Amino acid sequence: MNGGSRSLRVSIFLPLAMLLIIGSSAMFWISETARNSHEYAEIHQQQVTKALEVVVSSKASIAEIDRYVGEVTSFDRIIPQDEISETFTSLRRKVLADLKELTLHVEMGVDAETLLELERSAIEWADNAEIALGLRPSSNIPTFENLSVKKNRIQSTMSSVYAQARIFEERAMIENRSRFREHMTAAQISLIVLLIVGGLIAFYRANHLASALQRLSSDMTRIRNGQFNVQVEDATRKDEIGEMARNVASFSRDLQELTATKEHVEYLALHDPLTGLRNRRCMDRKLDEIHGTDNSDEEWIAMHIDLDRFKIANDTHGHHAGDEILRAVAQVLNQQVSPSDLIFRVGGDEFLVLSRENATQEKATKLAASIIRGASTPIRYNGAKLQVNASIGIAFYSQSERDPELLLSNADLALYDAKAAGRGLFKFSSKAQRIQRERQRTTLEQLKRGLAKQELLVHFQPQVDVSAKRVIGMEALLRWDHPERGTLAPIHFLDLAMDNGLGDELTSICIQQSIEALKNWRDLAIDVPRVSLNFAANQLRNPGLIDELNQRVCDSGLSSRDISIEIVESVLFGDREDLAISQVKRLRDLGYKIELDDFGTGHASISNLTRFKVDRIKLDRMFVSDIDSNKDKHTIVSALTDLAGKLDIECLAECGETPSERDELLSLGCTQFQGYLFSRPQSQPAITLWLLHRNSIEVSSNQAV
Amino acid sequence: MGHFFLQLICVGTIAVFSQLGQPDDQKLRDEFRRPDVISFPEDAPYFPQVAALGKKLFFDPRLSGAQNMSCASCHNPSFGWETPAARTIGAMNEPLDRHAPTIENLAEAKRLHWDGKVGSLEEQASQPITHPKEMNNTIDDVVERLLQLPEYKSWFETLFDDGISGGTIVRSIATYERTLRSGHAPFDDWINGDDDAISQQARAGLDLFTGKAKCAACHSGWAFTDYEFHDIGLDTDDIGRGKYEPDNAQAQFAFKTPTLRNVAIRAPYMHRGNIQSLRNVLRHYNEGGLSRPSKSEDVTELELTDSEMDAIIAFLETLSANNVHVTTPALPPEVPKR
Repeated sequence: MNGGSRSLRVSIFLPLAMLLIIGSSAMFWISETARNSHEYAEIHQQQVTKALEVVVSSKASIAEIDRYVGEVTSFDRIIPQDEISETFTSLRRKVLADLKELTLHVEMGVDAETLLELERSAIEWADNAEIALGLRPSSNIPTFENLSVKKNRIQSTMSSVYAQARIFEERAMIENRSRFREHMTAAQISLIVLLIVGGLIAFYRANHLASALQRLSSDMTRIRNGQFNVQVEDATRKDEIGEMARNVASFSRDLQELTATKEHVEYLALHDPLTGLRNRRCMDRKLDEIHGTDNSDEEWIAMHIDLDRFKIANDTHGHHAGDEILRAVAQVLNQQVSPSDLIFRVGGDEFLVLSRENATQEKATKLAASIIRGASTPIRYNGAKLQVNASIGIAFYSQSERDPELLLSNADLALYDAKAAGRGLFKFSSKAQRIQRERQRTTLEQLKRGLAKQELLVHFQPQVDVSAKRVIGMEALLRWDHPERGTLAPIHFLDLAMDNGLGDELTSICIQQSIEALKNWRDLAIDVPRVSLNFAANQLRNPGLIDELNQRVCDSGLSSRDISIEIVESVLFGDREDLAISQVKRLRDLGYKIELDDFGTGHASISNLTRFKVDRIKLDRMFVSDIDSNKDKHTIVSALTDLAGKLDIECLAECGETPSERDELLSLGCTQFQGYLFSRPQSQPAITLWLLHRNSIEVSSNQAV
Repeated sequence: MGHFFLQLICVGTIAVFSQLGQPDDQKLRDEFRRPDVISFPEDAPYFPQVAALGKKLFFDPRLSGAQNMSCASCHNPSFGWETPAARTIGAMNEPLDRHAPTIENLAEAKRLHWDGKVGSLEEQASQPITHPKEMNNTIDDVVERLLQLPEYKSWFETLFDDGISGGTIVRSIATYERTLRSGHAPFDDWINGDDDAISQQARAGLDLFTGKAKCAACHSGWAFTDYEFHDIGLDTDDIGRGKYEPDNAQAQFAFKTPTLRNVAIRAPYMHRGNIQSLRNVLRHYNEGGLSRPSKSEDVTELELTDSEMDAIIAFLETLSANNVHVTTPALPPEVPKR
């Protein structure tokens, strides 16, 4: 504490010290007074006791001498004169000594006259006694009664002396007592007064402190409850309370800052900084809230809004333009929705609106239409005109079994629908969609069971070189032997499997069964040079794929040359950073053959061929169909086959229907074919039979079937 | 208001009347107050040793011939120094002529015996010793006997030049007798100022005693006796004082006024001891006694009522000492004769 400040301690201790001092000095004074008074009383009490003692002693000696006189004057014994004299003298001496002592003792309290009277009566008696005892000759002898009376007078005078002495002492004691009482009263009163005063001061100080603390406390409470602009009083005080107050004020400011920060953080956590809309996390919370406090008669809609052509605008005009678009759209949404509706930005160009007010078909329609209108309004940015569109999928809570997840899912499906229907539209989640999803769920269940029951089988479609008249390979095609629906192609279940984590299992089945089959054929001495496996980009992205493949190949005693990997163009020629590409490269390096499936349907097919060396391309059906009638197609295919040939890339045609197509292709130099013309995909046992049969036929004839 | 005035008047009256009573009381008190001292004659001064010796002799039966009677035999301290019998049986086994009188309060008496026969206590002391009907002894015998007792011998020789003699013997007895005074009675308390010492009845009796009953005419002074001789009209042959004053008509049938102190314990009364109770004494006075020329003029019919007599008796009872006990001395033992 610096020198300029006072301490509370002084304020607290001073009155206490004062009270303590008052109390103890009062105690001291009172006890001293009491002691003095007691001592004084004791002294006087002693005096009285002593006086009584002396009186008793005197009375006793008087009684003794009287008794002696009585004895002598009873005349029962002849007592010699000198004996009488001696005895009487000594007894009288004692009496006089006692009386003297008595006188000394009570001089203070007894009046002189009484003491004189005592002396006089004693002497009178003694004189008379002397005569009666024959110690002094006289012709008038005092009667017994005379002596008795005189003796009684002595006794009564002594009693009076004693009484006076006692009264004196008692008065002294009364005085002492009253003096004591006075002192005590004075002490009490002054003590009370001082204590009251001291107490009031102490109380006042304490109250003052308590008030200050209370103010501080209530200030802190207010601050705690969020009122940061509380003016902390007592901040100017120089003592500990002042310090506390200043600290509290400082805390208040800190707290205010922190609260603002916290709120900001919360805001940031739940809001999209760009558009100011709530974010996905917020949406999750809101949905939980809706689910948790579900009022079964409350209807909600979820509008999933996706901007069309946003990526193009973004790529064309830059990110800032994209931001501008998003802000504009956000504004549109804000303008169009009802006050109680909630808008969330849930993706790059995706928004979600949760509405209770617009939760009817009519209102939702109106809202969706206005949103689309607003979103499609062109935006001026940096002199350029930006324009996007919006697709909207709408779902009803009640139709989604009042499950938020289903609500979103339905809205998603509806959005997908809207996009599929041409974009810039809104679609309601339909029953069909829901049914479809249900169906999908069922299918998934069945697939899982199917996997367990080994309903997933790899079928094989032969690839034939017509000119060589031999089977040059087999394409492995995954089939599902569905208990009710028959044999299903992957299109019915592959995406579903991939989306639900069954992809790897299916991949493994493909690999395993393909290699098994090939091995089997080798064992049977059937010449199948290779088997082709289809891998999608996401399968390739699985880092364990190559290892598994290698393992199985190795285990089976085959080599990588026996396996061909079919991929679509986009895998190789998409994002350069894609793991899939490096995996493919690795596969190639390991000796696997790489084929491009559905060649020609991708983006920049031809240039891609130079970038990555593949072993074979498979011409898409599109090119192949009607090649015999379509001149353009003919030209293209011709070019392709030429190109492929020149690049030393094999070429296979996915040829389906007619021999004339086949012939045409042959004429163009494409000798490899795969299609229904030769064989549809069949199960391994079936295709094995086919192979065996074919072998036998070939042996017998050169006709390629 | 009227109530208050009535009370005031009552109180006032009582006050006045009580004041009226005061001077009378005072007079009476003064009249009957005991003297502080006993006067001893110059030739017989007081010595406690002599008195003590006298007391021994008084109680010693060896003064009598047959060694069976002492002075105390007839003058018994328990009966006010008298005898409960009307007339004591003496040495000759015959009742004596007269009732034994008390020997209290006789220091001031000029004459002793009912009839004033002797003039001093010394003289009186030898009378019963030597009287054949009483102790039936001679002084010489007494002396003789006393000389046999070393204690007596030594004491007599210490106290008297003469040693044991008739004179010293009677001197000792007389000295002792002089010390004898009636004890302190309730009446003395009244005299000393205690109004409640005697009952209302006794107080009334006192008034009668000094008034209507005329007792105080002869029974005057502190000892209630004038030590004079009066004929009170008793029916008797005994001429009393008249024997020694034959020429004095008033002396015939006159007897010494006895003291009334302790009278209540000194029955029977009169010189012959023939009146048993105080009531009968009062009745005698009330009737006025036999008329004769010697009778005292104060003795007349009194016309006292029974209650008045009761009052007088009540008063007389207040003259009885609180304590009449007299201690007996230790006598020198008999010395066995060899």
